[in-house]
Amino acid sequence: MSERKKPWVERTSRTEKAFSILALFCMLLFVADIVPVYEKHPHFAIEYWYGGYALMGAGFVVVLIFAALGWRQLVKRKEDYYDD
Amino acid sequence: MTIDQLPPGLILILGAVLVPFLRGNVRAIYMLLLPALCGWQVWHLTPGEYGVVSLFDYTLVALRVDKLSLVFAYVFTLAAFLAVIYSLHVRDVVQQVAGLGYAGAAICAVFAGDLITLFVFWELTAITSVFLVWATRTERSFRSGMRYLVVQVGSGVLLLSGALVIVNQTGSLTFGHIGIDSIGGQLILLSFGIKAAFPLLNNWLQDAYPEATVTGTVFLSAFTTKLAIYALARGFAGTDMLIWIGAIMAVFPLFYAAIENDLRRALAYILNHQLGFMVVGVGIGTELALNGVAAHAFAHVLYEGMMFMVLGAVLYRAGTAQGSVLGGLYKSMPWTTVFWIVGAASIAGVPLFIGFTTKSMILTAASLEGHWIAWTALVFASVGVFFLAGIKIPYTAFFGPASGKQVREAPVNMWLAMALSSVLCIWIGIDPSRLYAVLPFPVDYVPYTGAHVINQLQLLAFTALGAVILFRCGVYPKSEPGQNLDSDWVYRRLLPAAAHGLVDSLAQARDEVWRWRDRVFDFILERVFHYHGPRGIMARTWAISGAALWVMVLLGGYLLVYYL
Repeated sequence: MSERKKPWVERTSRTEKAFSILALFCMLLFVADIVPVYEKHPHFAIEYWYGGYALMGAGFVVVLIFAALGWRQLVKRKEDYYDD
Repeated sequence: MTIDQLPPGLILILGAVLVPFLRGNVRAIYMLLLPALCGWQVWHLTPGEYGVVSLFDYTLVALRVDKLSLVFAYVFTLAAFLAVIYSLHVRDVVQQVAGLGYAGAAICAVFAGDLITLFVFWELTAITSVFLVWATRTERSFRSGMRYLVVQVGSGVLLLSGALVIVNQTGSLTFGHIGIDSIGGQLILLSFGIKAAFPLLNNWLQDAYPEATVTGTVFLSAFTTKLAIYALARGFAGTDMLIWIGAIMAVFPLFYAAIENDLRRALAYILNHQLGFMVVGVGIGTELALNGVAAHAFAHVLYEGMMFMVLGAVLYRAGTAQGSVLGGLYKSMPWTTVFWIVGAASIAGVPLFIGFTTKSMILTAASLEGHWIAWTALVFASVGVFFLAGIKIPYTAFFGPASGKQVREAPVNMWLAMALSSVLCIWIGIDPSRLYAVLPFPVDYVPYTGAHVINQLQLLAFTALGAVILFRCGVYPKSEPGQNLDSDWVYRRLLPAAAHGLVDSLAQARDEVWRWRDRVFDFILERVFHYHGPRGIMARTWAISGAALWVMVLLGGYLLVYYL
């Protein structure tokens, strides 16, 4: 199927654009921490950092994905493992 | 006792008995009227104790109404109504009766003012709900249902045991704060923990829920585990141990959800993880935390139920919920896709959706009490569930490479139930004041502050960015067929293997004993044959003179001994 006939969510140009918008949105949110546009109510050290929540978001999802891939190696068996 | 002193759930339980005698639209209307009538009665209840009866020296309270029981009763009634709409196309009377009876039992249980009444309805939820698993009518669902039933009934037995210990110690059956100081309290905590799917006690949930029928899973997702959360909040608020248990619950199931191919099982793991938030809240035990537990349970019943509805609609139309064979469904099921996105936004706590206004109460309570480990675990869990419900599952089922399955949009009744759930998720998300008004304690909490909103958006946006970058690098836990071992491995593989090993060992020991017995018999027979056989010494023919000589020798010997 040609690129133009594909639904918009499947067009490479659109997914690239969506990724750019996401990156821009992230950048704006990060800037919101540096140029404080809101009043923080921190309780823990990481909440005082610039982009503390951004760091947790990106960091934790990387940890989750790698941990899940490792966990799969450990626990995955064939579909008929229990044979019922 | 008058009829308004009976638990409202009895309307569903007794009303379900008539369902098999009705047909067609009359049955459908009747089934819709039952939760509506139940909801009407719940709405008009005023705090107090009703239906009080004396049994021997003990007092049973069938209907204890307070704000904690009411908020759970509201959402249970609402969930029953939505689930009935969702299942209107079903003609299987077993499912209809079981679903209504199950919802009614759960509503009766949250109004139980004593441990015996709680036990009765606790067990009734188990007995009625198993039929929703068996209604699939496969060998696999039968086995899964049996395991489910054993675990659930076992939980009830522990509850009864704990109740008997407590009544023996205190002389009271009242279901109030219990605590873990006594052995009775510990038994009851274990009972509640099984139903709340604590770590290592959880696998009945992921085992049975995906095996239930399309509509059965929607019923199952609403009641059993939230009844356990209610019971924990009532009996064990402020128990520190629960903070740790909840933190583990919130995190660990996500690793399974990330690698699970069956999307309904993945969602069951996500359900388990959401319970972790509530268990942490119960453990913290402050007014804000308990409000958070009640509010999050309310929200969770709505959006989790809707997400099971969406996957049920996918299973109903596509014939499978296996991620590895799904994809591209947004084209043929656009509304269902939208409903999933609403559910995912709610569960992830996106501002303007219901989860944002409830989950943040528990996180704030953890912050205020300085529980930084639990708080970090809950933030990790928030990231994880956004990745799974907001990115991985929608990509797998709806937006990823098309599977080629040509399917239709969900039936109109399923569509309506999902649409109503979506509206509630957004409506309460935008204006949570009505939900806050029915919480157990006065609410002094504002969810929509600049810090809350921006921090949550930062968390979610960077989660998406991190996941997309990893995806572009080819690091992604894609759905693959397989069986992932969980704690059920203990009773599905280890214990049967140990039992087989024991039986084999006993059989070998028995065979060895039989072998020795045979050897001893053979030896005796051989000796007897040796002496008494045709050639044996005892079988020889002796001359009479020889015999007389031996008799004389024996008598002589006897005389000699006598005189000595």
